[in-house]
Amino acid sequence: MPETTDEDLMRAVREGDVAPLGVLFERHHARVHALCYRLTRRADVADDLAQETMLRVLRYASSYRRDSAFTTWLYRLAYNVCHDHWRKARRDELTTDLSEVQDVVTAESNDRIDERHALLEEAMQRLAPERRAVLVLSRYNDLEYDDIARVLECTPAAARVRAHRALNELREIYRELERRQHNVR
Amino acid sequence: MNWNDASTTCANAREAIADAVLARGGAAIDPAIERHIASCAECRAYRSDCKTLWATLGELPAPAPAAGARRRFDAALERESPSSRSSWKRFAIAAGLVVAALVGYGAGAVRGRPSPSRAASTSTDSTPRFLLLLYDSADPAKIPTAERMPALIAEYSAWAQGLATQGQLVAAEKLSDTPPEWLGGSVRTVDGARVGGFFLIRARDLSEARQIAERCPHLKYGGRIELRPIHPT
Repeated sequence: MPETTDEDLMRAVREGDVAPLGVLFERHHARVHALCYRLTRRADVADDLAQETMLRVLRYASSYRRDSAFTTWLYRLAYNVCHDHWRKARRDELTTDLSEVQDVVTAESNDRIDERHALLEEAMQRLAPERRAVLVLSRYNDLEYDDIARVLECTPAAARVRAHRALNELREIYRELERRQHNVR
Repeated sequence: MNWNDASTTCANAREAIADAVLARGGAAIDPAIERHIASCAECRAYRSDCKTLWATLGELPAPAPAAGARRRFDAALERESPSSRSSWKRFAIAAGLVVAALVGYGAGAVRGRPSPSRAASTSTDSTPRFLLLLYDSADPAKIPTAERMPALIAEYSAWAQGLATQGQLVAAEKLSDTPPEWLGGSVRTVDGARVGGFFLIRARDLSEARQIAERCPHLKYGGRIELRPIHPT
């Protein structure tokens, strides 16, 4: 017997049945958590944001339309939850500078954590949240420009431009971090 | 080729490279742009860097969610919406129906050995059968609290046990809470109530079947019952 689709479960949720939320949670929570982590780079924060996202499935059920995949709508909820988090935490993020980054990278290298991974993690962290999001959605959630546009609520053309700029910027930041890393030695 | 032409070509090449890297499964690059990349050290380096970054991104791990995430979610959901308490009602009725279904199997086992206590309405294969379709309540005000659940389950069980003892219970099943699959179009009640389970019973006639249905605890808790005679064969 075929498994009940996410879309059918959402139809039941829209009609006031909360039982399918448990099924949706089991199916998607881990992926939503990974998305929240990759967008915020903090596991403890991701726990709270992933839960908030799954609760918004109930709160915003009336806004769900079947014209796109359930997961695309779910990722938009997650992105908006993360966006709210960034707004609250913006001041903290802006106080991080590259000198702090050097210390972090050096410490991690001393702990024998893969240097390339540490540099790339840091480069992703240095990206503006909106640019980081477009790369994460493409790399880890396999979304094409059309679906990225639905998540970010922009046009596909704008999503493409944002993706190109994000990739360019990631490369520049990574190269800069790599150069500084070599200078430290 | 002047500087502007070269710059434009490099920009186009980098857009194509980015599209190829970002696209699922990789996008093909125009042969003319490929020729430019082959002749341009900076564009070659750009492609190599982007490919490496993209591959390395795929290696970055993400931690698993903290333990107990589902439990925290269920608790938050309970606080989030009073209507979510309908799950308690479903659980209570489900438990009652499951118990009733188990009792039904017991009834089947003793059907060949009628007891004296069943003299008033002894059931045989020719006794009329009736279907009781139990609709869950859509009214949140009639949802019982969690504390009431054990008593609710006991009521359902006692009612079903009574039917089994009298040899009147043929079958009982709880339906899954997953949404129904409709073929040939959907059918809905006006207020969204859904069939949560059924009882197949035996009774002398419609009047006795109605009396049995009226004693079902389902009605006390806001549920409704559709009583349908089974067409005799």
